[in-house]
This record gives sequence, structure tokens and C-alpha cells, in this order.
Amino acid sequence: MDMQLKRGLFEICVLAAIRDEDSYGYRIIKTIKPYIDISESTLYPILRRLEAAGFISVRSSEHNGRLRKYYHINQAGKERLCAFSEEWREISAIYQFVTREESENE
Amino acid sequence: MSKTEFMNDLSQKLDKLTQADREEYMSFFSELIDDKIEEGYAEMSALESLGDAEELAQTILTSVPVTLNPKTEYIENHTVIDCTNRYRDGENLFRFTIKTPRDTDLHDVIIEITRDYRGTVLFCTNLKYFGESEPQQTSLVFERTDGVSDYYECVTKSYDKAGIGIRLYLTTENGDFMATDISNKSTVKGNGYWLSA
Repeated sequence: MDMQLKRGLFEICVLAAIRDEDSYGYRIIKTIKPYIDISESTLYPILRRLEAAGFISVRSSEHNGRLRKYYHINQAGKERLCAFSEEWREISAIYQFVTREESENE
Repeated sequence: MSKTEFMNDLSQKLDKLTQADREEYMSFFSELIDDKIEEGYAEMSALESLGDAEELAQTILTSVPVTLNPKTEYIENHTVIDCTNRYRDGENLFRFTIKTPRDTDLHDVIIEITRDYRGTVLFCTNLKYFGESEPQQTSLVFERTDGVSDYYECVTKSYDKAGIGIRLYLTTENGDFMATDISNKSTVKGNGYWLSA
């Protein structure tokens, strides 16, 4: 998959992973890994970008005697997910167009 | 290797980051390792699942947004670091030549791509990762050395609808230096001048 496209999808997947419930780093990776291959070292810069953009916020909470960071989706993050759904409809239409051209050429 | 040894190793490999950034990353990976161990991984397996510390550090270093330390006072000195050539070619690629002191570690150079004469920053990165960090439509190639300075050719097509300016910052043991093509509007010490575009 094109790297630029993949980077954009990483961000969407992370937002989707915390849409219904706040989550932490390791659980986010486990949630989205079945859908897109993401490494631990890739996740954190994405979380920071999303936080800087105001899409998510972070809080620390005690867990088994240590601190764990939990990520929460903000309203702007939810709107980003909605916008993605809209964009995907357009992309899907383009996909239909592209694959139709290919089958016509075959 | 224990978790402590791994974390110390990773910390050393991230010494180019600011202390705050480094602590953020260390805390993130420490939490990940603890979560994996809590889930049942042996400590060694948890560490191995993160991969080699060197590769991990490289991935991090290419991903971290670069920011200039506002407390650092850079002295403008085009004899030390400079953009010696800058033009847009027939394919709308911006090509510019960057001069650094010979054998400079490119981790020590920060490049800002700017728009127009106000110098709005479009992109800021460590020169070492110019061709690797976002945006991807960039490349950096070693061109030549004259024995005193090394010359690199940078190419980008990412901003073909914008004017392109460049600011360069270099940190050395002998001081912090910069070069910019909006020099006559800069307020830093040193002898600023316009570069020919």
C-alpha cells in the first residue's frame, strides 16, 4: 500500500479505535493490527500528531501501581471520522470508475 | 537484556531528541513493555517484540516533528552553513544546494522550508531525514566536498504552488550557526545577506 495513503489510514484507525472508549497504547495496537499493520514505534508519533491537531486528548491514570496514558477522542476527532466516511464514498466511486476501465480494457 | 538495559540503550540512541521528547518516548515504550509483561509475555519476549533498539530509534527519529529551541541563539554565518544555489527546474522541482562544514553529522542540521518573504514555515526537519520524513516527496543526495565543506543537493516537489525559501540551522561544539535567504529581515547576530535565487 502507498505509504502516504497508509499514514492517513493509520490516523483514522487510531481515532476509530478510541471512538467508543478511551484506550491506551498497547490496546490501540491490538485493536487495529488485524486491519492494518502498525508497529509500536509508528503509533506514538501518530498519537502525538493527533493530539497536536486537537483530535484527541491524553490523561494519565494509575494502573497496578504505575501510570498509564489513556487517549480520548475529542469532538474534532469524531468530526474527522465523519469526514473520512464522506471522503471514502468519493474514493469508492473513483475505485468503481478505475476498475470498470480495467475490465473494459481486458 | 533486561528492560532497564534496553531502556538505557534506547535512551542513548535518542540523544538527539530534546530531553522532553526523549522522556515522552521512553515513558511510552516503558508502558508498552509493562503492558506486554502484564499480559503474560516474558520480559525478554516483550523486548524482542519491539525489535532492535537501533531500528526503533531510527523510526522514532524520522517521525518526531523537529522544533527549534527558542532559547538557542544562532549566529548567521554563511561561511559555515549556506544554501549556495536554489532554483526551480523545468519539471517544477525545487532544487537547492546546501553547504555544511566537512563531515558534519546531518543530525546536527535543521532545515526549514518556508513560503514567501515573511518566512512562514511549511516544513521543518532534521537534514539527516530530509528524504525520509514527511512529506515524502523530498530527497537529499551528497554531491561533493571541496575539503572544507560538503555539498548536498536537496530536491522537493511538495510545494510547487508555493514560493520556497530555506533556513538552515547548525549546532556544533563551536557554536550555533544559521543561514537564511531572508537574512536582511532577520534579527539574529551576524552578517546577513540575500541569497541569489
